[in-house]
Amino acid sequence: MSKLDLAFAALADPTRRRIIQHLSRGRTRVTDLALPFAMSLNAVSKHVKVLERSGLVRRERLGREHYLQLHGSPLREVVRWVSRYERFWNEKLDALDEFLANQPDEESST
Amino acid sequence: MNAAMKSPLMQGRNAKVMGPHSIRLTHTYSAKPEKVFRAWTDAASISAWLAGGEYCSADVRVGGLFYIEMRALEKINPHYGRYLRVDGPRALEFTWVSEWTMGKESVVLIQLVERKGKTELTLTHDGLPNEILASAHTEGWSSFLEQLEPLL
Repeated sequence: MSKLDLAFAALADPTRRRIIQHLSRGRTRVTDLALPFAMSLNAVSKHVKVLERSGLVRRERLGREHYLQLHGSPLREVVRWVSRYERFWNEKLDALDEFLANQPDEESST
Repeated sequence: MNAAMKSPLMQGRNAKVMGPHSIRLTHTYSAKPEKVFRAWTDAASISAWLAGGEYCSADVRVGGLFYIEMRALEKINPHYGRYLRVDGPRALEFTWVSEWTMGKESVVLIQLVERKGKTELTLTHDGLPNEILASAHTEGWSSFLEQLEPLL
């Protein structure tokens, strides 16, 4: 799955969206997330893992505490989804450059 | 000519099903337009540079169909379309349907202009659906994204 697909899948869950909203106010300890969401630490951890894998959230260790921080760039891509096609065509147009360079220059008849 | 070819749905753009978004890119090639055009209209060439070596079939004439097994973003993405305009070596226009267009017909226009022995290619991709916000809307979280946007 691409990063964008992962971010999209991560956002498809309402609890994870609420976690992101919470983190948008600032860095938060994992243990402090469980309380407002009335969930077990284990359940929260599962959601956090999905968010981490998508790149939307990063975990930092400070001593014994784990802090979570929102990481904007995958989310920016979700919002500016069109970048997917721009990236796709840019990549392909570059590949065409390479392809043409390796093609013989016969004077065209087609 | 078969009946399907005469159906109005099979001619030109199907504006009713097209999404609202467009992108436009330009790229300059040090080859002549004829050579660039051939790369866009020969199935083996399309397979080589566009499909990452995967299968491609292309019936390049107005109303003709193509099918490409695109290798992109680490998987095979089937792409389909039909040619709307074949005007070599100046222009090639085709519809473009895939999972990424949510099965809708978007339209790609390739325009080639010769400048001092080089070719300036302009690619316009019209009718892209707002994929992310469309799904977000169905799932009721588009306002969530809008809320977060200023923070990014």
